Amino acid sequence: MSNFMAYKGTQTIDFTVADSAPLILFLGENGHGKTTIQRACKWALYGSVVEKKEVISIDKLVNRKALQEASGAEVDTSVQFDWEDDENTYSLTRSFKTTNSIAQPPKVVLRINNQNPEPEKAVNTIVNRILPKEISHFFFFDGETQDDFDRMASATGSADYIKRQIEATLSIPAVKSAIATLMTRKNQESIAIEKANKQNAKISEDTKKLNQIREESVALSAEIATREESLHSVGVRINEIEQKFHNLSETQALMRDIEEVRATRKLLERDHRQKKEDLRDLLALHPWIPLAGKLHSLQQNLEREMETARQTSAARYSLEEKARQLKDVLEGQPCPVCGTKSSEGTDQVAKQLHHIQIEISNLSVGEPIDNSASRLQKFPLFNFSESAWEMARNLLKEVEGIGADLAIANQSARDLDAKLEALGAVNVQDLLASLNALHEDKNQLIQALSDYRNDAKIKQSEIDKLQNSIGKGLPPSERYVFELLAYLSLLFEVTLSAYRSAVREKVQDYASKTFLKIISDQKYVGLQITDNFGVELLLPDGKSDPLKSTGQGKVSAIALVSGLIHTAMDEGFILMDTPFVSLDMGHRAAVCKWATESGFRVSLFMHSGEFEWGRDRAQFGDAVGRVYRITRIDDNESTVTEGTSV
Amino acid sequence: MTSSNAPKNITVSDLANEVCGLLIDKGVVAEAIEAYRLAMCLAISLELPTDPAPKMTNNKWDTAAVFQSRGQDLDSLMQLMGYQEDSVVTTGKLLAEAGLLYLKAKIDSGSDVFSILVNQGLIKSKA
Repeated sequence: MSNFMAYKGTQTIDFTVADSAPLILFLGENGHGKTTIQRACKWALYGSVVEKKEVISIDKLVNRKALQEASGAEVDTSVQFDWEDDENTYSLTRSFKTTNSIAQPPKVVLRINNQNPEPEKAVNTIVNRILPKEISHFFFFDGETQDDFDRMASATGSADYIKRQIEATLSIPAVKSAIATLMTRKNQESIAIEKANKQNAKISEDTKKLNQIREESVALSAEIATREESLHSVGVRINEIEQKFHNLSETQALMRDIEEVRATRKLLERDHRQKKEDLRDLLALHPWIPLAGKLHSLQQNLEREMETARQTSAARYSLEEKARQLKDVLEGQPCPVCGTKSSEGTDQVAKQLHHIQIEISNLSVGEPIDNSASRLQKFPLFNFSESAWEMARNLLKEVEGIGADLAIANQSARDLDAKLEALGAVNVQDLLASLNALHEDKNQLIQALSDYRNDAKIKQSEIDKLQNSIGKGLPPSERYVFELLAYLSLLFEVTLSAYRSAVREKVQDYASKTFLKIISDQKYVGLQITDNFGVELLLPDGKSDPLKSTGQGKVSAIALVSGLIHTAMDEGFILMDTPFVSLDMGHRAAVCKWATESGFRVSLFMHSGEFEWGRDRAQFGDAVGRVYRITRIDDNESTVTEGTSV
Repeated sequence: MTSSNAPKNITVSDLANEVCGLLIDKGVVAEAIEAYRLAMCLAISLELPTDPAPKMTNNKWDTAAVFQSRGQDLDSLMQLMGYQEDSVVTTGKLLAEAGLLYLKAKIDSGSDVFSILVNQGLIKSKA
């Protein structure tokens, strides 16, 4: 790819893998460019890319960043797709140039076996012969197809969709078209015989009858067409209502979530209210709490002052006592302990006394002890306590913690409410009534169609009989073409009927095998493709169950696709975009196993929500041939790089 | 100071009523009188400047109710914090006003009052 959509510059992807490791993993987040790779393949093959049912215009295929950086110069956008089959190699390149945001018409070059390019006009025919565009979505299993398969998995939508897909895959419309042409030619030949022999009395009489039956047959065909159209409309309406029921189940799940969140919120609100009340009561009892730190410091300071004052007082008392004793000595008094008089000199005692008196005068009196004591006594008067303060801090933490949880619960409730609003109101009773009425209409239409088709068969048989009898007496040379056409018409009809039946059995056989490999529910023995091409789950007793869950639908879709591809070809490739959506882990593992054993070259495009390298890589065993990582550099540039891990 | 048997409910200005009403609505206090006490202590802690011309005019302070109810002797607390005994009522009123106005500004800016009241208590004295 060169400058194609999100990919700037040239990116090369190698899809070649060994038979023993047929899987290629493309890993990237949503919006990084997984689907673009599939689109590049489709654009190269068919020249158009569809998004949301609309073809993307060519000017949107060029990479925006490359265009900006070119500043008006020419930008080349191209996709080259190389492949081979048993006989040939093919190299297909589709490209266009963009100058000043104006895209020129694309060119396509197809070389077979490196020979000169095929004529451009012939390219589409050759490509469609190899891989018809109508069935390409089986091989490029992208988001758009996923929607189709989701609808197919729903009970009502399946029959018509599958029938069309199977018939398209097996070229049945072409056979049917051939039968219609033969029938038209046969009728024309019959009319020519009637006209050429209108003088013949018997032919004239038969022709009258034939014309009358033909008119009746035309009227019947018109009735059938009207009923078919009505049936289609009813089917569309039923699908719409079933989609609403899908919304309903989502709504119910959301309602359950909302109830849970509301219950949690109620509990949190109750706890929050209670804790706030506790804190409020505590603050009412202890209004000093905003001042607690300062009060605490003050209390500590006062206690320290008290202690210092006590120590000073004790030291002073001790010194004063010593001074008193020294004074006694100086005055010639005997020692109060031993009763003897001191022998030391008077000068020395006087000196000691002097030092002690200096020490006493140096002792700071500081805050009067009574003052500190009286201030400390004020603390209990307003109920100051450290435990109350600590309790307040703890309560605040609890209030804040519960408040944070409550904010989260409130946000969840708002998100869920928004989701519910986006889904819209769903009235179950009205939906059920409408659905029942539509199913009744549908059954009546099916019955009417069946009756009309039987009548039409009878009329056709009468026509055939009359056409065969007309001109029975004519020479063989005049009836040769008519009889040949009648024989060919019959041959094609019988063959088509047998072909349909055989193919259905083959598709059913392979789809059943795939289904059983993937589905975890051991209750079923396979898939059943019914006469009207619906898909049902086959039970051991031969009875069948309709598809019930989205997961069953997904697995059935994958099984059916493999059945169709295997029926149509011996080997092939399949690119599956986000294949694991709606599948639980068990079924994901089973699909991984199927992918490794399917015999196809399977490329899986997955985001982190459905595939985690560490967790899921082992499920593919040694079957992974290549791993590509898709990364977005910015809004206008992505890159795809190969590596053995992420 | 007034007598201790003064009524608990006190008549205050509209602005004081408004702030007290806000605090009651937010569940921070149950009665206005609790708001005054907390506001005054907050103002002391924050060392809020007081306006000598009170904005809350017509306050009829029942000082006994505010400062001297049983177990709530904030008169002692103020003295402890260095306010003169003979000016406790006047100063207390101005401090409470300053605290209530501060809380109103915080409520208006969406702050959590519980957090302000409790966390302010964590601020220690510089001394």
